[in-house]
Amino acid sequence: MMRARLKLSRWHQWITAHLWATLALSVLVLCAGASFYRRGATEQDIGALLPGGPGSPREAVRLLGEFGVLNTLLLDLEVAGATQDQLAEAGEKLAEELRRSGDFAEVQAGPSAHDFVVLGQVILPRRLYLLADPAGEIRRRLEPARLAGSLDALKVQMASPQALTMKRELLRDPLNLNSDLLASFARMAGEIQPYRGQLLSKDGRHLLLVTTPKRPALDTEFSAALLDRIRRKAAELSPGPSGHAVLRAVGGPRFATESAAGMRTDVVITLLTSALALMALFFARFRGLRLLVLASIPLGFGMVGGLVAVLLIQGHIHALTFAFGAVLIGVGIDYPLYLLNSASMQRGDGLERMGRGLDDTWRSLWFGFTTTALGFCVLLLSKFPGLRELGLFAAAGIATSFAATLVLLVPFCAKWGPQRWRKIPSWMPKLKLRVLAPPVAWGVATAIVVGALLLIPSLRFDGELRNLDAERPEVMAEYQRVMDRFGLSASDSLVIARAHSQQEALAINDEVTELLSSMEHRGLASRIRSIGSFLPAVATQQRRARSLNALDLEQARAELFERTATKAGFSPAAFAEFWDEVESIRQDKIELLKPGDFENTSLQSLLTRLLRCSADECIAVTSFVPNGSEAVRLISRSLPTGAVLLDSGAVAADTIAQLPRQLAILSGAGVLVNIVILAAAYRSMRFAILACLPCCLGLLGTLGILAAARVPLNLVSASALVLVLGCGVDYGIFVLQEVAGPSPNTAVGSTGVLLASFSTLAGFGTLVLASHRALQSLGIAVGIGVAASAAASIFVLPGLYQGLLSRRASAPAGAEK
Amino acid sequence: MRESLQRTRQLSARFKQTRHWAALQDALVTQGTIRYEKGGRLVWRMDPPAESEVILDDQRATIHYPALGTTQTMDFAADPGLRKVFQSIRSVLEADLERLQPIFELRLDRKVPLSLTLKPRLPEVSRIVERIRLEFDKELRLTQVRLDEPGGDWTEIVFHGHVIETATR
Repeated sequence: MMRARLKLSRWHQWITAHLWATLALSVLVLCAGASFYRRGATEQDIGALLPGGPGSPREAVRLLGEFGVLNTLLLDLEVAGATQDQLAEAGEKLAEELRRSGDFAEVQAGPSAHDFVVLGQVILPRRLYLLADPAGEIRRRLEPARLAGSLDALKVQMASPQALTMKRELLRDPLNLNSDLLASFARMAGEIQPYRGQLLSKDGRHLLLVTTPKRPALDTEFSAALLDRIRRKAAELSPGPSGHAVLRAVGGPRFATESAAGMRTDVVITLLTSALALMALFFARFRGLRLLVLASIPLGFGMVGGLVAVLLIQGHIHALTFAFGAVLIGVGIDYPLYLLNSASMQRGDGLERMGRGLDDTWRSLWFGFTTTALGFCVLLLSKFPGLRELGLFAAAGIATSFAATLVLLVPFCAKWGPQRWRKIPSWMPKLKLRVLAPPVAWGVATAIVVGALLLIPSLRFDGELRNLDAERPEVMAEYQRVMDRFGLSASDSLVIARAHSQQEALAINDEVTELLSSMEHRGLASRIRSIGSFLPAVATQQRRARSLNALDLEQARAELFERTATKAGFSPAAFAEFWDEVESIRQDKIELLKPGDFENTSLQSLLTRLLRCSADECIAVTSFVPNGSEAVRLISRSLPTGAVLLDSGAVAADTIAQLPRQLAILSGAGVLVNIVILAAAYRSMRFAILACLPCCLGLLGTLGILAAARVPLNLVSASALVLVLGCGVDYGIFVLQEVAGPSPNTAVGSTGVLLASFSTLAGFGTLVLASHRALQSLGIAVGIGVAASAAASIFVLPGLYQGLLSRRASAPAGAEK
Repeated sequence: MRESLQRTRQLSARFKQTRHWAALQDALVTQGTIRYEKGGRLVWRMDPPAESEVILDDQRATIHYPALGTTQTMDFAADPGLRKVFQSIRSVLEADLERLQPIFELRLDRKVPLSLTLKPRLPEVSRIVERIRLEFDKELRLTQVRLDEPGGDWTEIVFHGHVIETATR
C-alpha cells in the first residue's frame, strides 16, 4: 500500500508539471464518456427493472400496461348543445383529421352499420358455437313462459315496417339468441352507445375516440408534442349551438408527459437546492467555493464512469438508474471532503499540504472506498435487473470517482486551491463534547436495536409500481371521469393462456372464460373481456356441437316448442330454418369459426390484442375486474394448467414484495463482506464490527422511524437503503480512525464525517422537495438513514469504542496504526 | 296529385295494418299513427301491445321498442340496398310519386278515385316486394296500401283520420 502511495506521489509531481495537459485530457475523457449517453438507449419502462422471461414479473407489468392505458390515448369530445347527429359528424371529421395527421397508429371510432352487417354475417350463422352449453341454453329458452315472452317480442318486431326486409332473420331466431349475443359483445365495450359509426356516451353528449399514438407513451418528447397538437386542434374545433367544443385527452401518453415534466421540474429544484446547500457547506467550512469546484471534478468522473460501465456491458441504461445512480455517486464527493478537511489542518505549500492530507486519510479512504464499492458489488448478485444495474452503475461510478480523487484532486488543489486554508471552525470540534459516555452509548445502541426490532414487523412495503409515478391527482381524476362516462374499466387483472399453438392457447382460454363466467355468477368477477366470447377454439366448438346430441331435437321441437309457438299464433313451419340450423350444427355441416373469419371486421383489432403468437408460443388474454384480493387468490388457484393470472395487486404482493427480502439478504451479505475486509485490515473482528455498527444502527433506526411514522417503503426507497450502509461504513471508519488514532482530539475525522453527511443530505435530503413520489420517498429514506448513521458515528461510536477499551486494555494494533 | 303533394307540409293519419304471412296462423293486426313533414322525417308509431316507433329520414332508420327497451339504428350510408328499400317504404307511405318513379314502374288502375300499382324496377327491392297497390280517396289522400311479397305473403295498411296541413298560396 505504501508503494502505491509513493508511486502516486510521483504521478502528482508529473501532473503538477503538466497541469494544463492533464486538465485538457480530463475534459476530453469526460466529454467522450458523456457522449455515450447520446448513443446508448435509455430505458424508461419501470417493468424493465424486474426479472424477465415468459411468465415473469416483467412480462406481467408489460401486459398489464398494454391492456391498461399505457399506450392508449382516449379523446373525449363534447360539443355544447349539439345533437347526437352533430356530435357524430364532428367526431367523424376529427377522426379523419387525426388519421391523416400521421401521429397515430390507430384511431378507433365506433362500428358502422356496415360493420355490424359484416360481423352478423360472420357470427350469426355460427352463434350456437359461441354458447358454452348450447343444448342447455336451448332447453332453458324452451321453458314455456320464457319462450312465450320471446315469441311475443318477435311478433312486435314482425309488425314493424322493417320486418319486410328482415323477415327471414327474425324467423331464424325464435329463442331471441341474437340480441343476447350482441348485447354480450356490447357489454365488453363498456356502456358505450354505437351511433352512426361513432362511440357515444350513454347520455349522448360525449364522443369517444380510442387512439394509439405512433410512438410509445414513454417517448415523452413525442407524447408532449402530440398533446400540444391535439390542444391546437381542439382550439380549432367548430363551436356547438350553445358553446365551445371541448376535447379532452387522457391516458398513458398524458400521464407519461406530465410525469416527465414533473420530473424535469424536480430535477431543477433539487439540483438548485443541492447546489445551494453544498455551496453553503463549503463556505461554512472553507470560506470559499473554489474547493467546491475542484471537489466536483471526481464527481463528474464518477457519473461518466458509471454511465460508460453500464452502457458498455448492457448497451442501455434505465432512466431511473441514471437519475438515482447519479445522485448516489454524489457519495463520491465524500472522499474529496475527507481529503480537503484533513489537508486544511496540515502545514506546507500546496502540494506538500495536500500530500500530507492524503497520507493522513490514505488508509481510511481506501477502507471506506473498498467497503462501499463491495457493498454495491453485492447488488450484482440480485435477481432483479434493476438492482444489478444500479449496483454496476454505483460501483463503477464510485471507483472512478475515487480514482479521480486520488490522482487529480491533489495536484489540482495544490495549483488552484486557496492560498490560505481555513482551519476547522471552532463549533465543529465542540460537537465532540456531546459524545455519549460508554454506558450511555451502549444503552442507546441497544435501545435502537431493540426498538427497531419491535417496530420493523409493522413496516409496510408498498409494491404498487403506479404509486411511484408522478401522476397529478387532477389528471388522474379527469381520466377516471372519462372512463366512468363511457363505462370503461382499466384492466388490472389478466389471465394469460399460454401454449405452443394458437388453437391450444384458445382452448385453455375457453376454460378460463368458463371459469370466470362462473365466478361472475358468484359475484367474484366482472367486466370479462375474452376472445372466447366470439372465437372459441376449434376443439371447443366441436365439443359444443357434439353436446347438442344430448338434445332430443324431435321431442324438444314437437313437445316444447311447437305447442307454445302455435299458442302464440305461429304456423308449424314458421321456424323450420332455425331447427335446420341446430341440426346442421349437430352434424358438423356448418363451418367452424376461425381467426381469419374476423379479418376486416370490427372485432379484428380486439382479436389482435387478445391473441398473439411469437415464434415460440401463442398467448390468449382475458381481462376482467376481480372483486377483491380474496377473489384474485381463488381465481388464481382455480385456473387450468397453462393459464396464469396477472393482477397488478398480486404482482406487487408476490413479486415486488420479494424485493425487501432480497435487499435484506444483500445488505446482510454486504455488511458481512465489509466486516471480513475490515477484520483483515484491522486484524480485529471486534474492531471491524465496531466500524460497521454506525451504519447498522443508522439502517435499523431508519426502518424503525419509518415504521413508527407509518411511511411505507417502496421499490425505490428500499433500494436506496443500501446507500445508508455505504455511507455509514465510511463514517464509522473515519471516526474510528480518529478515536483509535494517536491524537484522538484533533476532530479531523469527526468533522470529515459531519461534512460528508451534510453533503449527502444536500444531495439526497433535498429530494424530499420533489413532487415525484419515487424521488420524495428516496429523499426521506436516505435523509433519515444518513443523518442517523452520522449521528451514531459522531456521538455513539466513540463511547462504544471507549467501552470496548475498558474491557480490553489494549487496542488492536492495526487500527492504531 | 302532384299539386296536392306539393301543398302538403305536414300529414298525420291513423292506420290499421294487417299482415298476412305464412309464418302466422292468423293475420297480425296492428294499429297506430303515421306522421310526416315535407322534406323531414317520417314517424311510424304503433300502439300497444305491439308498441314500436320507427323514424325514417334520408340517412337512417331508427327503431325503438319501448317494451323491449331497445333502440336500433340502421345507417343507410353503409348499405345502399337498405337505403333503397326504406326509401321505397317511405315514399309509398308518403305517396310520393316523384320519388317512387325511379324505383317502380307505375300503372294506373283507376282514375277516380285514384288507384295505382307499382312494380319494382330494382332487384334489391323486388326481392322483398313484388307489387304495391295504392288506393286514394277523392281528395287524393292515401287510404290503402297493399304490399305483395314474392312468397305470397302480403300486408294491407288502411289509413283514416287524415290531418293535413297545407302551404297557403
